[in-house]
Amino acid sequence: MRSKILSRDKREARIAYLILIPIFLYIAFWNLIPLILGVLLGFAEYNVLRPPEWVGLRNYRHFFASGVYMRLLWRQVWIGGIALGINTALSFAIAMALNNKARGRGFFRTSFYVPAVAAVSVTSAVFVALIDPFGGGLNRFLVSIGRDAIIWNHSQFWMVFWIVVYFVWRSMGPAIFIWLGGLQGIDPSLHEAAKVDGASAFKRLRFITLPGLRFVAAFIILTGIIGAMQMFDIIMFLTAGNPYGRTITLMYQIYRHGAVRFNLGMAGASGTILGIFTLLFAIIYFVYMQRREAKYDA
Amino acid sequence: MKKLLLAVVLAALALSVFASCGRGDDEVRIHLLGLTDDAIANYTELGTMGNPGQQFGLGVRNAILDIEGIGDVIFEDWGWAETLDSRQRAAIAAGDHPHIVGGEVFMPSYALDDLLLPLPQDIVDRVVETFLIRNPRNEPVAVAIGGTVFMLFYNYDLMAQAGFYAPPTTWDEWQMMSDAITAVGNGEFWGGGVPSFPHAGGALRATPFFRMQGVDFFQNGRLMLDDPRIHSTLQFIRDMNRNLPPGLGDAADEGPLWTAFNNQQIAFGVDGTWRASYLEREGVNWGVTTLPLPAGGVPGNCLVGVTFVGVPRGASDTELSFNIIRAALREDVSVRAIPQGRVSPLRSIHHNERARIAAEGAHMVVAYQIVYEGGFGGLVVFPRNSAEVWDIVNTMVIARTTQSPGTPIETITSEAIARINPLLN
Repeated sequence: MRSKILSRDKREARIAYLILIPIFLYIAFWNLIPLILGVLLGFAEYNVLRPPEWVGLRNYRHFFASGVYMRLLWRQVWIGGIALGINTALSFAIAMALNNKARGRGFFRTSFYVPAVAAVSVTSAVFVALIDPFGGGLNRFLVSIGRDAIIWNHSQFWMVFWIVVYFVWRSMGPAIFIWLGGLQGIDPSLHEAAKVDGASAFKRLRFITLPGLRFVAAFIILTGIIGAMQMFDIIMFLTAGNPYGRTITLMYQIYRHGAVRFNLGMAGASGTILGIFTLLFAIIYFVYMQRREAKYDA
Repeated sequence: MKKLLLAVVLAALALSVFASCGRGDDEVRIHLLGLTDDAIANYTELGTMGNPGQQFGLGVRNAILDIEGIGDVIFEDWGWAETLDSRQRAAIAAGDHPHIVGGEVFMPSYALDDLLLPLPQDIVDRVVETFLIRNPRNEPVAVAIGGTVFMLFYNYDLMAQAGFYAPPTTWDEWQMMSDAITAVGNGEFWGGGVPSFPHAGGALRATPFFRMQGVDFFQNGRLMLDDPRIHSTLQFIRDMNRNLPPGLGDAADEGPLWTAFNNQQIAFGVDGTWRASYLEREGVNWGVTTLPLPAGGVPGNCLVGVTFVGVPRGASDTELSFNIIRAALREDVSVRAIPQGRVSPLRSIHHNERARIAAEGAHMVVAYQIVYEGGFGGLVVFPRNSAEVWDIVNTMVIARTTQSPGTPIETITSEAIARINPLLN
């Protein structure tokens, strides 16, 4: 009897593996192999025209010794951090507003989501036209109200400002929807009971809404960290590193190493290090969330 | 389980068969710009068969099809600049070597990497030296099928508003005139200066001015950024930048600057021969001359708008590959480059077609004169990590000179040297 049960289990397991094998193969082919090759490239000098040459840790030594790459990594962190922080807070505030049963909320929900489905290349072109220092819409407006035009592309502050504005404008829609899903998952009777007990709106937010959204927040922040650490297309289209390289981030540098200069060794090494840092940030946040969860449960 | 393994093997076999069906071994695939069926059809649909650019493209296409025994030819669009470079590298890395490779600023890197086969002597003998790229053994390995150089275009009407009726011949004169026009323009129009775009577009336009001082970014095996002549040229570029509309001379996108020039908001523009057709189309009262010289300077320029072609090592039929280049360099085809605003590389055209060149306008006479007498090549190639070094020069030196006017030139160059030296050693 026992052997019959086991053989059935085995049969089911075999069927399960058969179903999963194509998915495993797909992931291995499109994710795992490129990942391994990317890591290996970091130990080579390779410009595609010549066969790769094994150079050991030279690319990694250059990464840490030159100082340039650590600056780019730091820039990726602080620009990404500002963008993520504002995006998370603003999308939460808007989700709270859209969670009320007000007229026209369907229109606003759609409006906030539209930027997320439009192509970066197209929408960034509109932004570029707006911040064109000569004849751009924003400077025309400034001049029309008697203010001086701003040469946006000469200022790191303004270029970062527009990167953040564009990032938030584009990323807010999906985050709003996730927050909304979380908000609608909170039992309304908790709010009603708190109201009866005389809890203020702030206290209801502090003790009911926020704790009820902790998993949603974890998801938004965790995926946001990964997204912010991979941010390069906005920079490519919006600033191209201007002014004089002061908005180049590590991810944009990796793209330029890999696809423009064909310095694939440095692209591989930088990509590996960026991946490790992203993983570290994600783990740190994950551990922090787990500790908070344990504290909350206690 | 055996059945499953068999199925996997069969699926892999089927995939490889499908993959190999995609390409016939006797097909010739050419990816030079503007030769595709779509490009030709577009011109036909638009009724612009008389367009000079199309005539040249069609000429090259037909000449290739005329090659004896060439068989089926497929013309493909592989884009230009980085897109073309990456596709060519991918094809080479995959062992699927194109019959010919082409491009502009990255072609010297192919030569430096010894990727290209030496050109046959009959091709070398027919072209002006300026249009050749040589490998480290000094063998010519790539040839341009056309190109141009930089010149100073000017707007008579804007000059006249400041009381000037002849173009400048020296830097001092140009700066004085440009300052005066900017002052008269009072925010409506500007004198114009040297663009310092943070990419090859800036480097190409700035390079002639360095060469006029007898210096380039890399000379005699040495990075020259600490040379006083580099510093004084950068200072000139910075001083002239105040005569360009704010933020346009060093923007990542060149377009707005040239739109302003075409729209008669800038009096002087440093550009290639193609600018003439835009100015004509906009009805600008324009003129053209050679670039002004610094005190005690020498004529300097830089080849631009060039389509270099070469044969990669590993090409399946090298004789056919060289015949394709010979076809693109046929005299009856190359002569069609003149109305397109391109300088032909053929010596015979320089000698025999002076009337036709003159008939196209002063810009073409100037261009042919500069190329033939000056012998200026394209941008220099750095011995290691050339693309990365150029990136630093473009952004941290040329663009920074105008984007950060408060930073001393010596600080800009010394910081760039500190970043470039490890890449060269």
